[in-house]
Amino acid sequence: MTAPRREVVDIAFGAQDTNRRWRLAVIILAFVGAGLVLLSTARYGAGLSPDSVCYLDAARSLASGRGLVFHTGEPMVWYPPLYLYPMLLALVGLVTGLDPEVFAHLVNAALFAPVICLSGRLFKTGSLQTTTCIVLGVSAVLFSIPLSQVYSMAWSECLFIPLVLLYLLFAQRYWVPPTCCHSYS
Amino acid sequence: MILSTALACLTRYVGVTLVSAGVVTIMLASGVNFKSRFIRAFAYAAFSLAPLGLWGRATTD
Repeated sequence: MTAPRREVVDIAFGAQDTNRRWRLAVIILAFVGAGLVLLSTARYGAGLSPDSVCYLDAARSLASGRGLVFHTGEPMVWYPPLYLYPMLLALVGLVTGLDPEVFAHLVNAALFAPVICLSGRLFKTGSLQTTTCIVLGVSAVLFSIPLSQVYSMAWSECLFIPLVLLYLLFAQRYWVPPTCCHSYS
Repeated sequence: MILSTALACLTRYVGVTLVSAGVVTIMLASGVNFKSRFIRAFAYAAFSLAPLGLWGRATTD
């Protein structure tokens, strides 16, 4: 009975069924991840720590055209340069006209989806490349408690983590044998 | 790889650790001679750290 069932799967998903299935599974899990972040922050918005206040200050001052300054008017010179996370918040603030505190959790949710997708891609380049293994690996990332804590806060880690995953995706080309690499098309 | 490292450095200072990891990764890559690996590693480190260096220079003046 397994052979005809396999044929049905092949017909349903085409010749590149495995390739399509893992991509589809990862995309679905990415949406689930973004949904979980939105669910966890739906009531009170993104969590705030002292660093978050600085990031929101920077986003507000950037959006209002005052540059990188605290609410006290003091320039931010010792924080990470360019302040990419507040810049992202400021950019969204400029487009929407809303205060960064209102939509920070939406930005976090949007940043969590790439984490899931990039994790899926990294698992795909690993030694166990079956769809089941990839889904299990990505699910572990999706339901990771530390990650869910990070993405419920207005922290720069939310942007830093996808950048590190992107870095790993490029760097793995140096340590994975060419026969195991997959095209990035 | 340079872009992701540079952006990571610009997001958080701890991103600098990616530069050292990247240099080691490039230097240990197989199939390329040592001189080529060294040049690539140096170029990678220089371009990745350039934005951070420019920021440091701009804020210390």
